[in-house]
Amino acid sequence: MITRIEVDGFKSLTGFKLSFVPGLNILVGPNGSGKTNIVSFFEFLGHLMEAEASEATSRVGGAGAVFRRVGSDYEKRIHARLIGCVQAMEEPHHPRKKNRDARIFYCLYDYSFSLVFPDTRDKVFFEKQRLCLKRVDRFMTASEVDRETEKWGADIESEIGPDGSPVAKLREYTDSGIELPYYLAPGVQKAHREQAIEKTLTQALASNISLAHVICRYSFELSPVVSDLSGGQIYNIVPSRVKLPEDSAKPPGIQRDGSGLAATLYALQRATYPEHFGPWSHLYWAPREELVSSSLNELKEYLQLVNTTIEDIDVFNDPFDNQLRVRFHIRSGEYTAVVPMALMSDGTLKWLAVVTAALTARSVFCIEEPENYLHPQMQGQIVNILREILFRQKADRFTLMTTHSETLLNHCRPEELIIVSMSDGKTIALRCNNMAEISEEIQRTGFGLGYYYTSNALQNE
Amino acid sequence: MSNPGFLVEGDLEQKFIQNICPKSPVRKINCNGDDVSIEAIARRVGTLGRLLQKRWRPLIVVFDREQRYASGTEIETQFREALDREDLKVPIIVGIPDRDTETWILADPERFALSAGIQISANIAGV
Repeated sequence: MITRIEVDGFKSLTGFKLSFVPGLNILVGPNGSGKTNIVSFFEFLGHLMEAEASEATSRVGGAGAVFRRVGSDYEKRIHARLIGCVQAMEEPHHPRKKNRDARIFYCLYDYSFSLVFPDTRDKVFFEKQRLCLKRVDRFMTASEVDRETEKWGADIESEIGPDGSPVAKLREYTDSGIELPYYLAPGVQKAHREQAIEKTLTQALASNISLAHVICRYSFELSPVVSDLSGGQIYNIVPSRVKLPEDSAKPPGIQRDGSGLAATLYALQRATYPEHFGPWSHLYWAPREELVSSSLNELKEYLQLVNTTIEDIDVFNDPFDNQLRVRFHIRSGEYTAVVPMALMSDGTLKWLAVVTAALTARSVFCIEEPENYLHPQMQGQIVNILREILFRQKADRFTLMTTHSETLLNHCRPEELIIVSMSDGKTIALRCNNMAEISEEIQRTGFGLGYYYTSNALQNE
Repeated sequence: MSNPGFLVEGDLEQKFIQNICPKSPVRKINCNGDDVSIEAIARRVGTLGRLLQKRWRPLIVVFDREQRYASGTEIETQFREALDREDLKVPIIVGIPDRDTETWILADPERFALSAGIQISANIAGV
């Protein structure tokens, strides 16, 4: 998971630094403080890992929506640095270890880039990139990493050369630290390997492609790094979108607005490919048994928490209309009915979409204001369920959530909170620094965290 | 030297006092109205006060009398009795204006600053 971000020049994120902890990370703050910009950065990062820089910029609204506005102009550069640690696995044919558990290791990474929007305003490109990788035997937080003093297994840099093309340079490389993909220096003897890797990378790189993408995308062992960086799916569920009919051929995976629910439920019902959600999912490695537990039955149990009259749910593929039909089986006393998804309440569908997304999402899961449409009791439940899913999945993963709900906050813990504010047009995000005292007061008084937040009692000086 | 922390009733009081005393914490009690018991207010002042008392003293508590039958003095007595159970170890100054707090502060900001033992900021003096 990404454990720390440093961003300069993306919307209101300037001189912005924030560390994440596994589990829930909840952004609170007034309207306009930049909570959504933090979430948007992850979305942008996800696109940067999947598409070339101009296309990624276009997907999130264009350069005007990405580069920081100053007066009536834009800042020309976005600098970003991402530190993370992700579980990876050696290739199955690796000669050293045959046992699956023995092949598992952690990959520590530190990826930074400068993205430029030139005066010509005709493209967006990477001016400079650096990717540091290291094999470690346990999960490491950002505070344990110092890029300059760290002995990296591989430290690769690329910079735009005089002819406008990027030139790769291998600053450091040791076999024991990390194994770079074979295709970077196929059949080259060890003595000449570094030059060969630099040459291959220089040929493979383009100014609009992420270095992390080029190095990790096609490597079995390193693909979790790029999957980690590209996992920033944001959810802002709109029930009216969830209700729209879905084509039978639609691939599973909950989309930003909640669409894709029928296709995802259908895939889960067939118990086919929960690990295959998302555009890069064929490279995303995760222990299969953990994902198999994301079954439809589990979703039904969660659904019954919000609506006790729902006895069952099924999806069938209607060949006549070529559409997926989701049916809810309702029982209330003697009354029974089968109700199509379009007629279910907004709150029920929002709940179902959020929980389904949580069960099937990749490393970063961002959800904006999950409280909308939900009964206050269920606002608390959504926090508990997300926490339970994260805990059970064991993988180091975090969920980013924005909220304005005091009710929802009452179910949160002080250490999960990130207080966001705006100062001089810059977003500032800080952890609460009186967590222990707040926890003690919550235990003593029974007041929830929401009370302390609305009373302005959470210090973040 | 006085280093006061404030516990006030609503948004306007919070903004106003924060403007006068930008370095002091101003917390909202978030609990008032005609039918809220004084004990309930004291419990909230207690928990917020305990979070402040290590760094800030005195604590200045301001909440409206609203439409309560008791006089401001009687409410203060009742409030202090309830506050005795809250384990607060710093001096508490209680203000229960009969009229809107903002009117009270606007009427005499110098007196307000004097009673709080603070320097009034230049842009507020003579408001």
